[in-house]
Amino acid sequence: MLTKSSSLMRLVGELKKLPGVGERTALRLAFHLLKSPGNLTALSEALVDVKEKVRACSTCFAITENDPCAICSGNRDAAAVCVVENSQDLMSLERSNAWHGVYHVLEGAISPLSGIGPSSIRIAELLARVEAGGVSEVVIATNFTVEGEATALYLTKVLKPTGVKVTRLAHGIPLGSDIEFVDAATVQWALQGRNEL
Amino acid sequence: MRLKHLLVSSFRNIEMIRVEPGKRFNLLYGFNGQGKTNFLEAIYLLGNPRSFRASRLPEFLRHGTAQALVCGEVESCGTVSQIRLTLEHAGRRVEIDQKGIKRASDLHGKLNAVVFSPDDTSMVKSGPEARRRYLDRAVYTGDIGYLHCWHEYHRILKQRNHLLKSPDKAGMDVWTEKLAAAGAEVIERRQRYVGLLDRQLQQHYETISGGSETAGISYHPEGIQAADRAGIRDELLQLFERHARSDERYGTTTAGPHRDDLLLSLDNRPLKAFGSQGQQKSFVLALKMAEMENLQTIFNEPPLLLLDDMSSELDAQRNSNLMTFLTSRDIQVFITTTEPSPALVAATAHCSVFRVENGNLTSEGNKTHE
Ligand SMILES: [Zn+2]
Repeated sequence: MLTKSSSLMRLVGELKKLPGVGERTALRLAFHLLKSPGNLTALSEALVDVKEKVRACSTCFAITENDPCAICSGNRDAAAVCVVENSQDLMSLERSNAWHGVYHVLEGAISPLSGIGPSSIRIAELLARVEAGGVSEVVIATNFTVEGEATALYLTKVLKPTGVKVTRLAHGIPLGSDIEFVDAATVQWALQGRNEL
Repeated sequence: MRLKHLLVSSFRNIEMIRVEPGKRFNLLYGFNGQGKTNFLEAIYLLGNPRSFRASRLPEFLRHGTAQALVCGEVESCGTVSQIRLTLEHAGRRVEIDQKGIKRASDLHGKLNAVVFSPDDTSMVKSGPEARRRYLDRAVYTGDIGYLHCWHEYHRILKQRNHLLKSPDKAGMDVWTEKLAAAGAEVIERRQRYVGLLDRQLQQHYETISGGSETAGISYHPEGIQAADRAGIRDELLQLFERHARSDERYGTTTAGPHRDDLLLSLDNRPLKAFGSQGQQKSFVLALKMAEMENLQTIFNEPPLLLLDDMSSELDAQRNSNLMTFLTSRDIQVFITTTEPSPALVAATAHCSVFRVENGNLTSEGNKTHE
């Protein structure tokens, strides 16, 4: 029988630390890796590399392997900055191909309950970027949670005195959905943010 | 609305019951502690995110079981749907017609029920918290948007209170502004609904009590004169401003809609201090009838009425006044009582009688009077 210190059980233990992975899934994954043909060098190298090579862009704080990141150094409109909570949000905005400006990743949202205040996230860095000049619009794309909304309000307060245009991402009814099946809160928001045609 | 079929398993002291309730009156009788209220609670939980009793989830699970189930077939506006509620230590799960719901508000209006229990009568005498709990529950049943703004307000409140206790108060003004905005919506929706209840209250009070006193319910949020949301928000900001010092001293938000009270009055005097026991009972029952009336208007059909522990709550005269009211309407009623008084059965046409004993339900058939 395998002991706790055996390499298989150690692997199971490490996998269990991942979000959404319980004992059963960890065991299944471990056995899958054990039985998979060929060696696991590619996977283990990727695991080591991700930690060693990936870091935050010194301009926008998106995760990147090259500093500045491809977006900051690419052919984008640097005068328009979209503020997101994390790099995952940046990736979903990028998938939409709808944004041609640059980003600023806050690395979180204000939440006293989690001990996160305005100084624990990249707000000072954003302000410095705007004050350095060359930014004409900041689009706030934090989440529509209580914490994301509070962060948006805080950003508006610190950015307004700089004279930069501050806008908030609109939210409303998902495309392709029937209004009948959209929850009431979303409908209310969509009504408040309605546009003249 | 009608409950056509109900299955309850491993819920409190109920091991397993299946029942087809009668269309009109359902009388459940048995000694105290046999599970009559548990049965009403199971029905109530099918349509509401919270129980009418102050209880925590583990208390719902029958001793030694990990999962309780309540499953009901509800007829509403000509269609029948199935609501299935699973309760486990980890949380609750609701499926409507085999589809899991994503938010608590998806359950809104699927099974409307108004409860009248001894707890409701005691809210007159107890502190503001009980009346606030009643108010929040009543507003929610008639206003689908209420749950969202209520949750939002309480989340912001929690964040703000935490910040008040921390040494670094950076960002306080943001949380205060957010709290005022969410609080304004909570207050506006409460005011609107209490206004609706107040308009219905008087006639029902007269029906139940036979008395001619003026019954009133009103909500006067602290520091608020305005009736529109923007005005309320500004006044809330001023209120928080005035309490900033005490908030900091106590490390918690000391004023706001989470501290407000509901005013119940008889002839413009506080019911709590001046109403007799009988007047208080009549008042609360009239309030429940006003709620039913409102739900009927909003949903185009009457809710279920759950009357818990009738025998202890109302005297013969009020009982008979209530029965006259109920028989004149097409409402499905569940009544629990320690004794099936002949008067009660006689007063109700089409009554299904059930005996409740040790978590079991035995049908004693239908007593029909024409
Ligand atoms: Zn960058």
